[in-house]
Amino acid sequence: MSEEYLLEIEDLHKQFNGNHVLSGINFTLKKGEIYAVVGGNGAGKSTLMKIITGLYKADSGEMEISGKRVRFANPNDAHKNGIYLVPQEPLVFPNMTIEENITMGLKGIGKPKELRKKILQVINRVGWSIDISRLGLTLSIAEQQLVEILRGLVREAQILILDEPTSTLTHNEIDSLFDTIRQLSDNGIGIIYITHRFSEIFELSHSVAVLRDGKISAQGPISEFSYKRLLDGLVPTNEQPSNNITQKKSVIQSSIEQIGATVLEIDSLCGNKFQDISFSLREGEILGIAGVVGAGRTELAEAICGIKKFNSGTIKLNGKRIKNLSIRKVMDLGLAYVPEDRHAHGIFNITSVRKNITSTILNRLNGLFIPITKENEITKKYVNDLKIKAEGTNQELSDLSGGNQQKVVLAKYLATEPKVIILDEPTRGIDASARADIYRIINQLKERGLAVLLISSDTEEIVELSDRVLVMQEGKINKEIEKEKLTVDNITSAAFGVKKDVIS
Amino acid sequence: MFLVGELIFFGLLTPGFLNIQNLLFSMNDFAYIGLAAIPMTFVIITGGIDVSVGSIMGLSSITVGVLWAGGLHIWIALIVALIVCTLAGLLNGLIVAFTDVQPLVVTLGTMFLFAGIALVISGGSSATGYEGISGFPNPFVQIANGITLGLPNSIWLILFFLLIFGALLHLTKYGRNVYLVGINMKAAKYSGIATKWIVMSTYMLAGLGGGISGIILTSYFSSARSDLGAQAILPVITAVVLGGTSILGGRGTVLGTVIASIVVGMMNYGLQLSGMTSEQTTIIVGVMLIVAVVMRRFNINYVKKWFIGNRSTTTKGS
Repeated sequence: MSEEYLLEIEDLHKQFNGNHVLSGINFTLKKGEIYAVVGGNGAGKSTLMKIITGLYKADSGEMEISGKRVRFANPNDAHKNGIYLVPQEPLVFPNMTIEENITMGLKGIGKPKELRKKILQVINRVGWSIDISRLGLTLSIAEQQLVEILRGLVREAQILILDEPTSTLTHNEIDSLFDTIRQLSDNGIGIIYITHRFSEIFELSHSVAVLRDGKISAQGPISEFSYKRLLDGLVPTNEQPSNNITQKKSVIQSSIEQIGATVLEIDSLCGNKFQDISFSLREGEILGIAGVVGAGRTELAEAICGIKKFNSGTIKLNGKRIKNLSIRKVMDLGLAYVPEDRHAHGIFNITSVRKNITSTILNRLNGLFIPITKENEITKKYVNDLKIKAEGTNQELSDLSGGNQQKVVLAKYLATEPKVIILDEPTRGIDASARADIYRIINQLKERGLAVLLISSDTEEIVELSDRVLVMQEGKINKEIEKEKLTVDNITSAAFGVKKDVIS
Repeated sequence: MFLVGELIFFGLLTPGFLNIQNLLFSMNDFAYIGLAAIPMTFVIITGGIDVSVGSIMGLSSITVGVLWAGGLHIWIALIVALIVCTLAGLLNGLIVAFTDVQPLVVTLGTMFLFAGIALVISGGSSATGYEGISGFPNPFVQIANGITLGLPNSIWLILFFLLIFGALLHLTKYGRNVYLVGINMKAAKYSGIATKWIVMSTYMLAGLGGGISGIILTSYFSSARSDLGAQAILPVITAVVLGGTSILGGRGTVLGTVIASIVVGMMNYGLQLSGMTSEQTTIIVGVMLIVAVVMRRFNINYVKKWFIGNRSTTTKGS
């Protein structure tokens, strides 16, 4: 094989439990090349990067570094071969100096003095000015990223992988990061740049690869690409309804339209991670909110239900303005938020199904003492309604499967008898049959006249369930799509901000 | 709790221990531990800890003493002291609930704060720290030393606490919320539970418990001193943890705490009867605590698996 490539990957495959996460990846990176990698959630980007950095092992396929065949057993091997990944969230220890942060784990490679010299040399080479005796906690996120990059360079990395480095940066910081990346490229370092933002690809990169469903669907020098071609790579060509979808369709008969009065009105709502959000939601309607991870969807939902504060704008629930109300009060007014992170925010794992389900409605039960018979009645009702599979209502949550835990979380919020329910990633990490059950439940809620706000990163799920979809991108509503025009294609293009220019 | 039976059995081995009368009246010596440990159970179930309770006992004692010596009626002085201690608990609770500082650090700070305040109060009156204020009226002394219906008052008090706090923790909505907060604070918040209020209130209960405990001590010794109860905090926490409450929060019972308090107290008493010095008994209590906690982990996680694993391998072999 030729020596001109820093990294060469040939026919790489990876499966998890029979699911093909990567199938037949071919990829080459030259010296000084900036190679952008894009793909939707779950397209296989992280898996590919984890294989390159030695966290996972490939099932089959070859990987060569500077013409030398390699197989990494762990990330340390990858470091030795000059590959370094800068994670999305920099890991900088706040109470250590930059120098200590950089040299950490570099035991036996050199004396502290020599190492310091080396760090300063690297800093000089790329032309930065930063005082390496500063503490980690004084650094901005952009500076923390520099420290991460330095860590890689001091380890003599030839290949740097940057995982969505701009997602937490401001505009100025992005510009200086881009300058840095270009300098690194001039120094002959190969860069793999993972991103969700199309504009960055055209601004920065030399080549681009689009990942979809574990395959590279489009690849080549940036000059051969247009927005349109990138997008074609991201979404399946034409209608190829996979078996999966048709199966789901048969489970859920589409309900007759019975959309009623407006129950939730949001007007120019602004918060830390979202700006100028306006929409309304009516009884019996499922409004989907799509977007890539980090688009501000969860932050919006948390502001609506009173968990986080918002800066300006109004929220009206049944015509009544809600502002600065506690979660409890919002819940009592008929709005429930089913949180995204089941383990952290949803379940009480070392206690019973019964105590979980009634946790949201304790204050509504009369009297000082808990009425045990009533509590059991309520629990049984929801266990039956949602088909929660448990050995009785006293089983501990930690013994249930993920799907059943999710149903318990759903039950707990349905027990508040809401008029509006916000579901945040309701089917994340659960198996297919539980997923079908949850789809059925969501449709039943709609038939009962509940207004449902469905936040999901699973675009097929959004298309499947929603009557109308709002697509969020970088904290703003980018597009509203009516049911007739609802396709995976449409949503994806809006989520990546492609047609924005065409529309406005 | 098979642990209890085992430990009492141990106690029975020492001569003179079997005397029921002796046993019952020995409770006077350590009832105050149980009275402080029961409300402390609430704090630990929420995942917190309150090490300032020992200082609150002293604060309670000296407040009663100084107010009474200053001419206030003894019962009014007692009520004021309890209010002061509840407020001390409120201060703990406010800091723990509304800042991110760990409960251990907060209450370690207030431990010195309350002890200091108690000393200042005692210095302000003519009583010196060591002599204390004595000469309390008989009805007050009878709180801890009297007998009602053939049982020492301290036993009645413990039973009363067991009923009230047991019902509060296990039967009421408040108690349920205490558990839920301890199991998963964030999930509790997302479920609309007023987590800050729940956390804060448990520290108020602990403060009140410390206050009552301090008064019982004052009555028992018939002397009010600012350093009363200063050594009590470790036995109190020992009783809660030995009683099955998880230091990580979410698990525990009032009954367990009560039984453990009695076990620890009896153990002390029994060992001392058998001729050990109090220093030596401390060693035994320490070993007991460690063994009990390790056993609990060991029992659930390892012994079972080991047995099951063994059995399955033998069945495979046959």
